[in-house]
Amino acid sequence: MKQGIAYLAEDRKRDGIVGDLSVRDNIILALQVKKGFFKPFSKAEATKFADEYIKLLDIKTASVETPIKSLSGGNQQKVILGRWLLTHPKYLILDEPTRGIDVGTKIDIQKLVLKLASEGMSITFISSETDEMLRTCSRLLVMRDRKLVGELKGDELTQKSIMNTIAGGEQDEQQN
Amino acid sequence: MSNKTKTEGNIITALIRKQIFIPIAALLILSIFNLIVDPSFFKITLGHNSDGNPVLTGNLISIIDSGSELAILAIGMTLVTAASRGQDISVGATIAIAGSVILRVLCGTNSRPEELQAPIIVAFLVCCLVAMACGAFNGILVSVFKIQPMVATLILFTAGRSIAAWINNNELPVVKDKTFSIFGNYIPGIPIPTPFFIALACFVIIALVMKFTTLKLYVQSVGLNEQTSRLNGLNPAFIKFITYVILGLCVAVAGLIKVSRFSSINYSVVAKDIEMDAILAVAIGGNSLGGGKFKISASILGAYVIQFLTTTLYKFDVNSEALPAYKAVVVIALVVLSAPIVREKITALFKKFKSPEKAESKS
Repeated sequence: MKQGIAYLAEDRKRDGIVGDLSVRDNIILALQVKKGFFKPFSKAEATKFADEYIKLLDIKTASVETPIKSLSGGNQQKVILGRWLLTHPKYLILDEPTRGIDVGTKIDIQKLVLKLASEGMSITFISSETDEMLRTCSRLLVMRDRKLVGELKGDELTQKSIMNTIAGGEQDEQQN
Repeated sequence: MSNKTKTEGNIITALIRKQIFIPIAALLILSIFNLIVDPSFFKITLGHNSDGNPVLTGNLISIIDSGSELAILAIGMTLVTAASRGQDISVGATIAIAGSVILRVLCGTNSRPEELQAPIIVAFLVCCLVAMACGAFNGILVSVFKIQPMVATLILFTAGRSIAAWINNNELPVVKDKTFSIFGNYIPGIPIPTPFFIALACFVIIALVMKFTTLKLYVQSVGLNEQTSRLNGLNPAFIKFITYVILGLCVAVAGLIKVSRFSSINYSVVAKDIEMDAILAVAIGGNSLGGGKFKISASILGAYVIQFLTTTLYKFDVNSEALPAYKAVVVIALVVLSAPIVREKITALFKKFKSPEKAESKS
């Protein structure tokens, strides 16, 4: 984290949200840890940050005080994304960020990823949905059983070539 | 605030939902009960003690006096509970150790010296170190070895009192110096008992710590979701450890008050069962014993609720042997009333009461 790397974990419930804490506390958590033990954000500062990211990411929540566990999965994911964006990372790893959330939020997140990338942030986007990868990636690595089986770039990025890479190779296994 | 625009019913329901509501309600119920049965309960008189100092006496004074140790312990216990999702049951035994250390340093090898062998402040600092070391011992067992907090602290719970006795070679030292008894009794000229001031100082210190550090946020996130906290750059083990050390510090202060009250110590009786009362204070304060969100002010109030209850029962000449049984009945009532499921029901009931009234006023 100190090197400017942020990691959005796959299992939101286990590795992402702090259920009973408010949306505000969830958003500032990472930045607060980065800032240090003896320099807490005042309530006003924290609320300002939270409001900023609630607006930016269009998070649907009753207030900044609402416990995060009462939000929908998509909005929870946005809060966690907001938490990492607040730390202004140079390199962002997203591990299945769109798993188990509604379609609208899914597209919101995909658009946001493209926007951030165009602004110069390096992003690794891990996903098991091919159309999602096609929409977001400029360079795609296909992995199977912990091994790299193919790399696709630019014009090679089509549904068909991805499927071929996934299905092909020396083994005839399907990626799940 | 937007409170003014809210209807009265909303304020009441919001109040019931507030965590601090439980201890305040408990205090109110106890006060009203006393007021009805015997209003003289609240009488405070100014008298003189054996040294000729002006002192206030009365049940309320005795509550804020003898509730101090419990309130101080409640601070640390709340933090430990929130971070490690378990309780420290060794505090009573650690108080015995802490008190024993103070007496040992003050009296030296002679158990009844005419003069103090060391300044009180030195004795207190040594006692702080020892108590924090005990806390650290528990903390390491819990955070590094990941032992259940109650099992980990069971070790000191069992061994603590004999260690305390061993520190003083099983003798019962008595401090004759009058200045030492200040901490547990009265400062000459001030009619309010000193333990209350010590407790007050502890509250102020912990409030400042909460304000100027991120301890609260860290402890809450570690208690709620250790894995997330780790990914956010926190060190859950260290934070748990720290809460045990803070509890150790609270124990040291409580130990000082305890031994100062009688200028001596009785290893097997001092602070007996106080760990259970401290855990109870946390529970009455509405804090989850399963860790996570916490409110220290509510725990402190909870501690005074327990003391209020004890004093009330004494007032009604309840046999000290039978006291725990009576206490248990009231505690069960309190805990059941404060259970979330019951509170939701009460809130719903209030809404029912309110809505027909509203309908009437509109028509």
